Amino acid sequence: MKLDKGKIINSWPFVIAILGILAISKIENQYYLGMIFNTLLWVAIAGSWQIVGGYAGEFSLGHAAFFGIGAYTSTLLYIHFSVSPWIGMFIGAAFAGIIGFLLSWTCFRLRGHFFTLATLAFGQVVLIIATSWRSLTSGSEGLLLPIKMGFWQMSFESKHAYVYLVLIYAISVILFTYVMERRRLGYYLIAYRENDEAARSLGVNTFRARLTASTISAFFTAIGGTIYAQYTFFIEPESVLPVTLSIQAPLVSIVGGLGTPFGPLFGAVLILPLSQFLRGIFGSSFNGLHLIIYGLILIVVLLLMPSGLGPVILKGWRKITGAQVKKINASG
Amino acid sequence: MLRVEGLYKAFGGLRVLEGIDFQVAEDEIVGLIGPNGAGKTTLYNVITGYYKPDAGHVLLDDEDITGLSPAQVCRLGLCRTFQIVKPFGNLSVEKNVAIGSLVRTRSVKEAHRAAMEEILFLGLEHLKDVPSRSLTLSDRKRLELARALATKPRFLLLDEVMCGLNPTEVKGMLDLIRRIHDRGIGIVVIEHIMTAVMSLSDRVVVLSQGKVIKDGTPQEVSCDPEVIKAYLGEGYQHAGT
Amino acid sequence: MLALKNLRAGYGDIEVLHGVNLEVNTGEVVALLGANAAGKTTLINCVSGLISAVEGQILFAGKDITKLPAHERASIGIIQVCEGRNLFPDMTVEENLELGAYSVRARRYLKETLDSVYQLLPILKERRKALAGSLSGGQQQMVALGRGLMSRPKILMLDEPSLGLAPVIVETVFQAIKRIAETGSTILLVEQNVVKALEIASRAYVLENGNIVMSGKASDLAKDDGLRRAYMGI
Repeated sequence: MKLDKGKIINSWPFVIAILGILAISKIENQYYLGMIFNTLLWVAIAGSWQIVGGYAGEFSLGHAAFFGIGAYTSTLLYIHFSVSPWIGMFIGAAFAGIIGFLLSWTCFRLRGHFFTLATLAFGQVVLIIATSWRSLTSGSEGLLLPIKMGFWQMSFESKHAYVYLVLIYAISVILFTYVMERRRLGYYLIAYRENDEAARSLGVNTFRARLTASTISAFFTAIGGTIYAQYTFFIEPESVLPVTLSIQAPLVSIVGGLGTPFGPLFGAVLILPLSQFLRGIFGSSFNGLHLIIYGLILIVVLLLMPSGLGPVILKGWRKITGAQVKKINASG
Repeated sequence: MLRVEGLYKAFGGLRVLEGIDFQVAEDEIVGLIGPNGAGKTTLYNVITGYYKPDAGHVLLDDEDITGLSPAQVCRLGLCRTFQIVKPFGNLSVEKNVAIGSLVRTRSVKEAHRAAMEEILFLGLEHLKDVPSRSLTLSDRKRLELARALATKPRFLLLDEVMCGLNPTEVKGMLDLIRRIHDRGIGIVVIEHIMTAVMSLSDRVVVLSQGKVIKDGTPQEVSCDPEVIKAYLGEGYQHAGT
Repeated sequence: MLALKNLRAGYGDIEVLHGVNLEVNTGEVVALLGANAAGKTTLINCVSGLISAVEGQILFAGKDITKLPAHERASIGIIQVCEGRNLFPDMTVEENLELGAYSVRARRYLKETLDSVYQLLPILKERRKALAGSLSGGQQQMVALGRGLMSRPKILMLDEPSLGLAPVIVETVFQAIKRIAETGSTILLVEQNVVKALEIASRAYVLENGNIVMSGKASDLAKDDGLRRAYMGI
């Protein structure tokens, strides 16, 4: 009996995942499905950002670039060469990974705020390239994806399919983070984050660890770009490369719990539905109100729960279920 | 044998090391002393790869390790501690030490097991899950030692490891250093607490203004006129002379 | 004039001074000696009020000032000339000196004090329009001394005035300190240059790892092998 209860406490992610999948299959309302899609997409984007921003401690404000690179690569290959988006997705991710690698390599000597500024510039540069290189990207006019349904085209009639797709994406990122945290790469990234000089004195090749984190983070982020493109059938620089996207990734991570595998989940669940709701109410009249609200949420969270929503909730959950375990053991 | 030959290091116009020669064998404890600004920590930084020397060599068993990165130097068996301790603040004591162990094994599980050995050796087991930023200074210094030992070094370079400790803690640290030495690790100690260095060291190397002015036993060094001049100033006539 | 009774002080959870007893009488020059990291600067900072005492007392002219804030200690005449000179490099020598007379008590006598400082340290009068940053190390040390004097101190605490100076210049600086002492000033001199310090001090204390291990007349200490042992450990 005792062992079972312990397992139950720690199995909550599986429970939620299964319940989630069941719930999704029951929901027919397109608006809600869209909200779920958005939320799960952001779980994955924030989770990907975290690898560099949370674990390695390098605060990137340019991750939209990787999202956009993923979206544009797979879309252009699809439009011009009829390459299946499934393949294009991985090509785009690989390409983004290489860019992430190069970015980390060149910015190696930059620390803290300087690194963040460099990533900010980087994100803007990619945005400007996408807007100006009209022969390639059609600039601000954007690209329309062919509306041809089929699995191989990653284009589906029902929103359910997209939601399951993005769910797999989100679960993959969380799973990767969870495993990485418990392996040498995770330990080394955290060591670098905590104290670079000390880490190096203990044999940690922090240069290599950072490059790895940057590459993987870019790779994962780019996959979201492809999925988003396939979902909306239309991409333009302002939708896949804006700085607001780069800002939302760290925001979701921090609010949910920076440096934890499930942080992005909690963060996204709080922020995304809220932002969509606010945009619905104030969208046209007060553009940017949701950003003000974001700022306020961030301030409140950092003041009251600096470690993030996730750790606080999980601690509470463990306290409640832990207390129940004690009761059962004492009497049983 | 860890050997340093003819090391020169300058920062811009400031010459910090001007031809340093010294060596440590694995069965020795060598004290490295000298007035402030003599170049002691810079010497450590050059030996362990944080700086590249302008001239000269660092040799580990006749293998030239000059200019290798700190991580590479650590893998070869040379580890150093820092004057101002640098724990991985948000991590537990055990995780801190495990990171040290990971230079010898890829497996995190094995690293934790090896880490616990060092944690026990240092008497920190009751603190193993405490975040290292909550530790007292004395415990942080022990943690830094445990972490360094986890890398299984052949030589340990200690930088003012007794700085800031009260007399009881200093005694404890002296015992600890001797026990570490008993494991077969060669130790270099930068220290300002002279009684401690003199009682601990087999040999003492005195640095002043970037040069080695004396290399000898504690007795020889403490009565050497050049050394006394460096510490007390020119013209000190004491009862012994 | 100044008495420290069982002083314990440090930084955060690091205790540096483990119960120090020390006295400086009016008109004396007392030297505080000791190796690096012995706690000399910590002691002076504690007397100045930059660091709070954890335990023990600081008595000044009979009054307990242990809890008095730093700026008030400066007003009542406890003046510290910090290690490393700390001048305002882009201001002239004269401006630096004038700033020394910041406190209300000193400002009243600014002109007089400035004249006496110029008399005591003539090089300052010579270079009074020069930018402080353009002066040599030794001259800067003189400015720092002068600035300390401008506050009309009751006790002047000098933290390592010879630091970073060439031996010849050290001689000049110490001559200046001697002249200041001869006017009857009370001085607590922290120094690493033991020989020079014992030449101008009447009494001295040796601090080792936060404890006073030797004290007595400067002339006695200079001949005592115990001094060498205190520094060298054996």
